[in-house]
Amino acid sequence: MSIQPPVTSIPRSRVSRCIGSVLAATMLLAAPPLYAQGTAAEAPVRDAAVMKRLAEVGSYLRAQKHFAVKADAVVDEVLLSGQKLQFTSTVDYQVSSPDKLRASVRSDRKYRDYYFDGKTLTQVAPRNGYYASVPLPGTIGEAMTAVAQRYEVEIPLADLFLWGTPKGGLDDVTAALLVGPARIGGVDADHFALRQPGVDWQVWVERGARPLPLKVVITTTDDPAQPQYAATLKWDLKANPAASVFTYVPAKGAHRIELKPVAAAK
Amino acid sequence: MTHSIPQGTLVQRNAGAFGRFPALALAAVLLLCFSLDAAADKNRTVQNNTRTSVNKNTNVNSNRNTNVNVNSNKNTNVNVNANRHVDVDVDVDRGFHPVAAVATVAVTAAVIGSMTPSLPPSGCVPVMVGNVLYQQCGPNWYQPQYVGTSVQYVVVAPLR
Repeated sequence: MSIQPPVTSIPRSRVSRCIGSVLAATMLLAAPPLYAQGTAAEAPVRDAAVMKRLAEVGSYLRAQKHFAVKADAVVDEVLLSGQKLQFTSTVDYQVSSPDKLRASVRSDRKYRDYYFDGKTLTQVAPRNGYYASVPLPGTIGEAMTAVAQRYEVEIPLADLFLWGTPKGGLDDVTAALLVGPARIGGVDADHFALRQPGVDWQVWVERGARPLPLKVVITTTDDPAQPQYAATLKWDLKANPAASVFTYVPAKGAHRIELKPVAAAK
Repeated sequence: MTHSIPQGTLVQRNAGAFGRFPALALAAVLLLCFSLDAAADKNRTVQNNTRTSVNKNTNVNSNRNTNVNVNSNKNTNVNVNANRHVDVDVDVDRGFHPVAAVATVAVTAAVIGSMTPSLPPSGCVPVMVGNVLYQQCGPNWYQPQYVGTSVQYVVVAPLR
C-alpha cells in the first residue's frame, strides 16, 4: 500500500518538524493519562440498565426484515503533524435481512457502492468505472466482517448489522453510562456513553417502542489524536427494496479489477 | 509549539531507555522521520486510523504485499478501449492534488511493482489485454486494483 518514490532529497525543515512531533508523541505516551488516574480508584461503572437497552437495540434491528437507513457522517483524519481535518460523507443503506445489502458511500473524495446478495460482494467506484467482486457467503454482518478482515474494505457502521448477533461485541464494553435525555432530529432519545478497549463511543437511542440508534459517535482512543466518526441516522422501516437492488449489473464501460487480499500477517 | 522547544534537551529529559543513549534515540527518531517523510511525499500525509464501527473488524498491522505478479502471457490481440477518460475521475483518496507528486513518475520510468493512487494527468490510454484492464501512460503501464476501498495503480512491466 505504501508508495516508494525515488526520494532524492528531504527538506530539512520537514524532518525537524517531524522530529518535534515524534518527541511530543513520545512524551504523551510516557505521561500517564489524566483520566486513568481518576478511574484507577473506582471500578468503571457498567450500568446494567444501559446494557439491557443496548441489547434491545440489537434485537430490534435484527427483527427488521426490510429497511433503509441514511447516515450523515463526519470523520476526522489526522495529519502526521497531529492536525485534525474533518470530512463529510453520506451513506445510504438498503437492507433485506439477513443477507442482502446495498450501500452507497459518498464522501468528499471517494464514491463507493456496495452490493451484497448473500453470495457475492461487489465494490464499485462509479465515477471511474471500476468494480471488484468477491465471493462472500453469509449474513450481512458476516460479509462485512469478512471483507474487512480479508480485504481491508471497511463499510462504515458495520455495527448496525452486528448488534444483536453473537458478534455484537457488547461483552467488550467496560463502562456504560446513561448521560441523559436528548432530542435528535426532533425525536426524544436517551444518550448513552460507553468505553471499551480502543474505543469510546456514544449512542443516542430513540425512546419508546422503537429502540433505534439515531446518532452514533465513535472516538478512536488508541490514536493519541483521538479522532472521531460521528453519524446521525434517518430510518425508514417501511422501505421494501426490490431484489434487483442487491445485484450489481456492470454499467456500460465498467471494468472489473482485482481486490487485493490482505497478505497473511507474519 | 514543538518548534520552540530545544529538541536535544527533550531527548535527555525524557529519560527511559533512550535517555541513557541520546545518540541512539536521535538516530531512531531520524530514521523514523525519514521513512515517515518519504511516505508523506506521496499523498500519505494522513494516518487513516479513525474507526467507523465500534466493532473492530480489521487487523491494523496487516502486511500488504506490494509485489505484483506480472502475468507474462502476452495476448497479441490488444484492444484499445476508448470508453474511459482518465481525467474524468481522479479518484484520489484524500484529495491532495496529485499532479505534482505524480509528474516525476511520468517523466522517468516508474518502478515496477510500485503503486500510485492516481495516474499522470494526461497521456494515458486504457488498454485491454485479455480480460485485464491496463492504463498505458507513455513508457509506463499501470494495472488498477483496489487496495481496501482505494483504487491504486500498480506499475507493471510494459506489455508491448
